[in-house]
Amino acid sequence: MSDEELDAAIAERFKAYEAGIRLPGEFKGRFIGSVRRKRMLRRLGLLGLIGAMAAVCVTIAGFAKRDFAYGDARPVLMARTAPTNETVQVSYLMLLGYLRECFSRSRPARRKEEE
Amino acid sequence: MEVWQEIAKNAERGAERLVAEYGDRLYAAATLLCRNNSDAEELVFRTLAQAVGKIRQFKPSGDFFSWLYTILLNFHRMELRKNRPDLVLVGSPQDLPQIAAAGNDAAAEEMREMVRELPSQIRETVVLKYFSGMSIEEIAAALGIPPGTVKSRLFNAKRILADRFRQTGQKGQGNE
Repeated sequence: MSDEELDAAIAERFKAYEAGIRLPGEFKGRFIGSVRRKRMLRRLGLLGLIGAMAAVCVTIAGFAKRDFAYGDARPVLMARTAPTNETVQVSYLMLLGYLRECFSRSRPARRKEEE
Repeated sequence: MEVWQEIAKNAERGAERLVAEYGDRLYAAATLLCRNNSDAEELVFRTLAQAVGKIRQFKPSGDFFSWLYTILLNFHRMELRKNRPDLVLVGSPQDLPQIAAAGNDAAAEEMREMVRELPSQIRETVVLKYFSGMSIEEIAAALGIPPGTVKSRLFNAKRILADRFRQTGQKGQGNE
């Protein structure tokens, strides 16, 4: 058998073999399902990342030192001050600032101030 | 639109087309490399998943099937390096009739035995050559080996397979 004949015989065998082999029927469904799940997880991960970045940005902005509230924000809280019983409009950023102060001031100093 | 373009555009639709156009050929190649059909199926699954995930790494100037085959080979070699010669994935009971079937599958089983007897590196080269129809230079580029090495492997493969064909032919004549 010459080299070409042998090559042709092997190629014929491979061709016949390939023609007779098929993936199991459920493979396609399983694979597409996996691709779909990975895509959904990637999107959820991306959304989570964007949400986390937004929260970090807002927190940083809230802790930034400002003498006045940024922009003319709508009040998120109507706080009633104890001594005078007046109401104060508090924006979101001012609320974050107050929270920061709560953690930075010492307790005796705070108590004294409240008195 | 080519299949890789479709995958890049819409992974799900592209994946369907990928399985339809390349799944069976890749599976046929995998069954010749692996010990059993379950391993071959798992290998094809991982290969196609990797192809969909890393589709942007494919260079359109190359042959798509050889790119898929390179991924398949890499996963196959990773499994071999893990040194799990007794690896048999837990398959469904339907796997058993698939392996033990007679009739048409006898020829397929004989083909698998002949190819699996080839040394691992020769087997990889032979499978790529006869499933893709690529030239020596293209195979060398796909496998990252010199063309001389490809020629040498194919020469050795043909020598071994020719002996097997002769034995099979004699066995067939003896049975008559």
